Amino acid sequence: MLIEFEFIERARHGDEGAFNQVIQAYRKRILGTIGRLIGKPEDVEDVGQEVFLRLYDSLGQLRAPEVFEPWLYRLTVNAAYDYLRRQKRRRESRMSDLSEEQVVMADASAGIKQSGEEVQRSKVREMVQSLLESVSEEDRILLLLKEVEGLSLKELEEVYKVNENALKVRLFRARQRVLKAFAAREGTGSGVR
Amino acid sequence: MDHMEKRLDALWAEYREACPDPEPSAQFTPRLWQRIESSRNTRASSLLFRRWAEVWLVATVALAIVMSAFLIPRFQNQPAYLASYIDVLAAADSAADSAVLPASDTK
Repeated sequence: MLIEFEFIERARHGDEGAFNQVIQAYRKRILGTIGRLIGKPEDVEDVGQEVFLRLYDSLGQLRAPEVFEPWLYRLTVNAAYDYLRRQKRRRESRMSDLSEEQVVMADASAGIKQSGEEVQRSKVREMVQSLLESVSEEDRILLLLKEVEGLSLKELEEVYKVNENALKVRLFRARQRVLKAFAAREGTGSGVR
Repeated sequence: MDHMEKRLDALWAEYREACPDPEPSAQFTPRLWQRIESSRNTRASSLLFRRWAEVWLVATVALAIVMSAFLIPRFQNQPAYLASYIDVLAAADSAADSAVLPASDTK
């Protein structure tokens, strides 16, 4: 926990000062998680604000301060889903407006500004994003929460409200799919290194 | 495949490092409070509208009950047809007779 239960308890009862403390304590972590889930740094703050807005509206329904973090992750996951769904619709309509040449040029101009270490990081990000395309949006978020955010199965159980075995099965299948895509990519020599 | 599993695990860790937690902008918290405030105002006005709607609904139902309490017994005490069909015919007949006879005959 990044904050004492007392602050959460007070925020639950409408103390705005305590809620502000909760924001200060969790905003960086939540923005980081959102960034990794949605892969769009420019939209991270908007989605982050949506998460805290939903938290403000629903904090009164929290059973106990002990389950605060899974609750916050649940709100984060839902906001990320909503964002990805909106983006998917927007991308479909936007990409149909652009010619293939325009898309290639836009990608190239974005690449010019990068250099050195950032190029390597960007390659890693692209690689992971493309590997995650081999699974559904739901499984992509689940995998990221487990493998990148480091949430335990117990915590994921709280976030998703499903039993551990069902989660294990979903995680195993998703990981196998990603592994297969990774092996295929490495086989074709288009890996990070 | 075991080798690939290890490489995939390493890739997750690299991804974690390639996407560090960003520092929130100075405007993050003030903008968030603005959004909270505006959503609270929207909720307050929709609550007010709901209250008004509820008040009007209750008033309408109460008025309907009061009107029924006054009007239903009145209708029940004043039935539309007090006389029988024969009585009505007889009354109409006698009225017609008196209208037809000349004034001298009635003496």
